Amino acid sequence: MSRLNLDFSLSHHRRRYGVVVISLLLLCAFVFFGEKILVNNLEQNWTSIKTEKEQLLIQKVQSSFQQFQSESVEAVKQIAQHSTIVTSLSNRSTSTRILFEQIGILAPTEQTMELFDSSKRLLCWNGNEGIQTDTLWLNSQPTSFVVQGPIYSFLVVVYPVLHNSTLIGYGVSKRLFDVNYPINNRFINAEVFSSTFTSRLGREVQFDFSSPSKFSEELIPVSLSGIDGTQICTVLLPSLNLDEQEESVNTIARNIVHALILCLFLTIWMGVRSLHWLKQRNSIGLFWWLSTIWILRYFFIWLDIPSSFFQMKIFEPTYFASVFGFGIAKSVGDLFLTSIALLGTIILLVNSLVKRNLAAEKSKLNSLAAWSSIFIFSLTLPLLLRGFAAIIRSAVFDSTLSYYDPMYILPQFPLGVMLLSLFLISFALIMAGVAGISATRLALQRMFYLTSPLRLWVIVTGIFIAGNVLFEILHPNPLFSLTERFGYLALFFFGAMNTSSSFLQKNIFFHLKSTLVLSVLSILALLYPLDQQTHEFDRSHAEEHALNIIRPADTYLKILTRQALQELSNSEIINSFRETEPNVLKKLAFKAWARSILSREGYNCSVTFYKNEGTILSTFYLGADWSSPNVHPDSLAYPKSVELVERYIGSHIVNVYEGYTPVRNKDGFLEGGVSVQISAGAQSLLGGETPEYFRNYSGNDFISHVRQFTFSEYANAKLAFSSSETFPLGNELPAQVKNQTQHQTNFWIDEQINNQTYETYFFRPIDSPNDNSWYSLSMKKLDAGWHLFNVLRIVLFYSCCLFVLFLVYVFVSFVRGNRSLFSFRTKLIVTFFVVALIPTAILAYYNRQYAVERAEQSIIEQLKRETITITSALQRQWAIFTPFDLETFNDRHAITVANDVQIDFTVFADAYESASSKPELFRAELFDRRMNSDVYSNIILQQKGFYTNVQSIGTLQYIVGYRPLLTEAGLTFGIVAVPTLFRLQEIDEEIVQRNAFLFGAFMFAMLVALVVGFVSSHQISSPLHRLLQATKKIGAGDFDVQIRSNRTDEFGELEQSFETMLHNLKQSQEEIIKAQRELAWKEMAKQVAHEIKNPLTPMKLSIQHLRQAYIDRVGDFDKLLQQVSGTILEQIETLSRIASEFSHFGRMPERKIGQCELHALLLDVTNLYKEHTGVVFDLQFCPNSPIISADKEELRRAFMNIIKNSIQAMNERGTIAVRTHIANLMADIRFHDTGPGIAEAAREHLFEPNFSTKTDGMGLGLAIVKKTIDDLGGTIVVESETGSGTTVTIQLPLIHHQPERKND
Amino acid sequence: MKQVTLHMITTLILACSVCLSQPDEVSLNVHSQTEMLQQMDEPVDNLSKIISEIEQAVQNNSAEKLSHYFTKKISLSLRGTESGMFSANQAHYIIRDFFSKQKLTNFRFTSKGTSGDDLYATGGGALFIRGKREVVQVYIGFLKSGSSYLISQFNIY
Repeated sequence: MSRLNLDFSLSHHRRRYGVVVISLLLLCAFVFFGEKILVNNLEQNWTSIKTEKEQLLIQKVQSSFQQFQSESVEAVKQIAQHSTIVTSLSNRSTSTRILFEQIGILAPTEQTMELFDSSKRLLCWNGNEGIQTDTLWLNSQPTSFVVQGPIYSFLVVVYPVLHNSTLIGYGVSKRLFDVNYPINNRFINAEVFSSTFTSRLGREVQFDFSSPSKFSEELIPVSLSGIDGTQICTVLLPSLNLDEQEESVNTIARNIVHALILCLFLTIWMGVRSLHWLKQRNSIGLFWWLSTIWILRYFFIWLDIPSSFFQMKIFEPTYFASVFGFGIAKSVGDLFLTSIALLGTIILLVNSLVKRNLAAEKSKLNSLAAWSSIFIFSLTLPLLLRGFAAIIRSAVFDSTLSYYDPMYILPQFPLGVMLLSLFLISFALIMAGVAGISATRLALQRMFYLTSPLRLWVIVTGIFIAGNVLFEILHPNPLFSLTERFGYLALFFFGAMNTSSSFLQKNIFFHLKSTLVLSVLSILALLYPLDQQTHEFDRSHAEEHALNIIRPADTYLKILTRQALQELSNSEIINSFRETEPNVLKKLAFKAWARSILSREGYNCSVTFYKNEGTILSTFYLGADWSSPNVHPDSLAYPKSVELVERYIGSHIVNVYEGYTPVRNKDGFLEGGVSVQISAGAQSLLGGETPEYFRNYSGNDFISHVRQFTFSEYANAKLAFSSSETFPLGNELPAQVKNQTQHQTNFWIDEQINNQTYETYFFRPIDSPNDNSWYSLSMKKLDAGWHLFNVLRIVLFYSCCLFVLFLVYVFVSFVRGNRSLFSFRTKLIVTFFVVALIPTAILAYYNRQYAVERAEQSIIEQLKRETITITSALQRQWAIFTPFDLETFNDRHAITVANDVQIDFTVFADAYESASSKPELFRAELFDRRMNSDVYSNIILQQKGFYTNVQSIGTLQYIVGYRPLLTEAGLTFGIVAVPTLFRLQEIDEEIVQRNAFLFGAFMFAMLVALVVGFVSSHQISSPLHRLLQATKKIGAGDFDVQIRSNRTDEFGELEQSFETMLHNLKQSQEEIIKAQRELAWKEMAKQVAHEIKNPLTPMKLSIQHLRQAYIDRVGDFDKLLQQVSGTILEQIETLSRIASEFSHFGRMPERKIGQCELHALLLDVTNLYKEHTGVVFDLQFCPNSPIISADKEELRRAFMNIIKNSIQAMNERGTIAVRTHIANLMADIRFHDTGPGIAEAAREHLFEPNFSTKTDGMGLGLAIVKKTIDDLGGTIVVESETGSGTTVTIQLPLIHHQPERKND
Repeated sequence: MKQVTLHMITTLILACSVCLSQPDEVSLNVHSQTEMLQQMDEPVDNLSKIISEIEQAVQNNSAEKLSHYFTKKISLSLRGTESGMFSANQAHYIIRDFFSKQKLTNFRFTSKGTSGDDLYATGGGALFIRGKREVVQVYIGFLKSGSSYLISQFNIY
């Protein structure tokens, strides 16, 4: 019946899976044909579809613009109609300060607000200037328009301020409409300009501000109207493209099909998995799961899942990509998924190997197979280590992630995912190593019956050391040195010693201690190679720099200049020459520079465009006060090849690569020309001097890492030049360098400079003479504190991840109803830790806040000093005391002052920029020309002597200090501004040091709390633990437990009381046992006496009868004698049997313990009783014969006793079923007979000696059987129901898991 | 014990897969900086062949063939995507992804130049992005490495 049910259930399942599979296939077909139909429909009806979509698009653009515009209108209207503003404007004596305050409160952040009086004079403002407001636009009616600049375009809304219908002023809102910023880096990117109109549309568009004209068919013109209904501009949208629409449909269809294929795969997998025969075969089950994991993994790669569904940066190769594994690690996200698959594989292998195979008892181990396996594994482990080393190296060298960026305590998301992936891989490695070593140890133990743990570990250690040595010899590139591999072996052995039992007893992950041990080992295994590889990575950077520096003859800068000239004379530039708008022309050089290779490389340079008459059209330069090369009109038409020249930059002579090329249109007409100059100064050897915010780079540049390089040059064994002032000129060349031969051209040494250790790379060209002329690149050596800081940061991250996993585990256990998760000791540790963590975390937070405030204060103090220095320099050296003096002060003068005092600054006059030592930042419109309104209000209106303000370039924030320039009468005529922008490196270092200190202190406090918590909890919980163990032993019958306690506190008293109680209990137990024994002996003696009397009586009677017959001289005396002697002999036999059984019960014969195969024994025993033809034996044995350690004969007698009882109970007619089973390391043997069963009253006494339901016998059989089973560490249970037969269940421990034997 | 052997063999196969799927540095044609310093003076064989193969690889949008010529670190600037310094492996995938989204057609080297040991080559082509055609400029910078040239810069403007 059960087989029929099973068959029915299976076929029902198969039908269900079949239905799902067919449905999915049909869906795939549906999507496939649906895509074809859609595409076909698109092609046939493209014209009408296109028109409809374009109409919708036009409506969307127009409504978006109206909303965009109405926000500006509302904002400026609110200001223009505000009662305070109206009152202030109508009452002209109101202070400007109040107006600044009011406009500051009312203006939204993304809009610039300006307020003009009725004479169109600017009264106050809030926000950046953006573009200069032409007062011609101000009129008495509300109006809006777009002003297009070369880089920024603004939506301007003008709203008149009226008082009793009289015009008293104008409110103006300027809102960023579009940005055409040519620089793109991590500070300045599209996200910074996300509030523009074009970013709202979400697509690239062009704008046309000219009068309506004919547009290309590829563009859809959309008119945008102002608030007065006039057209203000035309948005040109790219017209919809059939290919684009088809591609969009194809992409959606492809994603759906991929998802369906994935579901199909999962369905088929589940269907095959449910097959009964698959479940029964362990080895096939293992391969099934392993194949599933890796087929699924490569399936994901083939289908581009999940990157096609989630557009996340961690699935792009820009952070990390390795050719490892044929695409399974082509991004951070892919590596994470692969690490999960790898860990799953190892877990499956370990579970299957240890639990199912080594724990199960089999026939004798095949030595050859065992040794082969051990040999293979001893070589596999170093191979796994090599793979691990390769992964770590790739994780560092094939990635742009900064593993040791000190600015962050916890890593950012991509780095966090990468670290997690590496942790999972490390965990898999540790698990594989620990499992392999444990398996080897178990195999050796079984093969050689080794009982000494020390000897076993020594042998196992020897095997793996030999394996590693052999691997070292055989493999050409093991990546780890032998010493390092031995270190890892030590980790594996430590793990194996601490987790072996967990592997065999329960699933490793549900044993918290083992998981924690393996996790700690994984972190240790990972930290070392990661640290090593990042160090090597830093060094490889230095070596690559060195290569660039010593390129012979013409360097890269020449190629760069040529390439720049080529780019700067392309068609787009040619068209720009025709531009009439002066602003646009002015920005031409900057935009061209930003779009060219020059902005990516970051060298100090200048770009100058010339008109065809030889005058300068536009110029842009970086880094110094470049003087544009003069180009004679006659030579405009002729290119000038790139050459190295000397030029004066400021007061210095600098080597410069300079070139010129004419710019001609497609007809060959000369439009003008362009010249490029690139600085070949010393700093340029380190890859450019331009700050990162001014580069067209993603932030992943050559020298963007923690430690800065210092370039030095030695001539004749003395330091001739260094890019850092820390290295004193004239320093001697280190001795190790002097002693080098001519052939040695590059090496690393450590050197001490001003009490700081540097790692220095010395190098020179291969053909240089041996005159002790060297170049060097130095970086500060990371000390132990730095390493500790980095290690602790990573440990903190992993601890946080483990903590999150732990919380999930607790939650899941709680939901499942498992409330008792933790021991008392663990609870104590956690309590101590939490109690220590909370105040420490609060302290750390407030400390950090305080440290931040102090750092800011320190910056402000420095800005105060610097602004004083600048104002003093301007007044004393340049005699600037009046506005007129300031007018003559220009950028060149500012650069000179800045070079002298080493402080960059800007001077403002009348709220606008007047001169700056960094004019390129204003030319590039990174700095606003107009002073910030807060600064104006505080310095000019409130007459403060010093003020600071936070400014930003994109997402990069910095503090600026402002100080007024005062006339002799004390009136403010200008403002000096000193930004910290140019000291960011220094400030970052301070932040790093602060972070390191605070973090180190915090971690130290937490570590102390953890140690104290651990020790204290151990102190508190140890007595309870001892008491618990003692109680368990007592419960098991062991009264010889001793608790030795030296404590004098309450726990000490408790332990002493326990000891006293135990002593009393033991005494009582002994008395009871003695009394029971005496009673048992009395009973036994009574019974024996009774039993002995039984045969004695007939013996006496027979002898008496014989004597009487002899006296009576009866005739058949001989016959009588025969009878009597037969009776007497019979009774003597009975007496002998009674004596034997009594002897057996009283004293066990000497045992012979050995391996005993149960199935063979049971077969022997059942065969003995086959002569009872009415008894049928139904034997059902498990596949693997259990092997136990026992006295075979003794066990045989026990089984015989049970079977004999059954046969007797069934009256030699019936069935005896014998079943065997292995579970939980115990052999289970069941005997079931079809007899009448045992009465309930008798069941309780079955194993008592002297109890019997039979007419003959001592009633000792089952008592002897029980004793036998008990002595083997097993159990015996009898279940019976009247009329249903009797079942005797015996459980015996398998070999090697026998408990200590009881010795009688 | 048969099953134990099975597990051991499975482990060995996995370990070998892990190791064999990680190519060593030689196959990536990556040289250490020391080697490159020492090999600068060696003559270059078949320069025109190298240029021709690279041109072919760009025409076929084959990141695989291009990556054979990458130095250890390569500077990439691809129109509309991230730019920066990447390892050869990363550059391989970035360029592969780039070409999978937009096809570069009609590419030819139009100018080549040498400057001492350095070489550069530029050319024009057209990118098809979402069905639209845009003219682009390609710049490839080479670094001498032994008897060959390797790509140290790859830009598509």
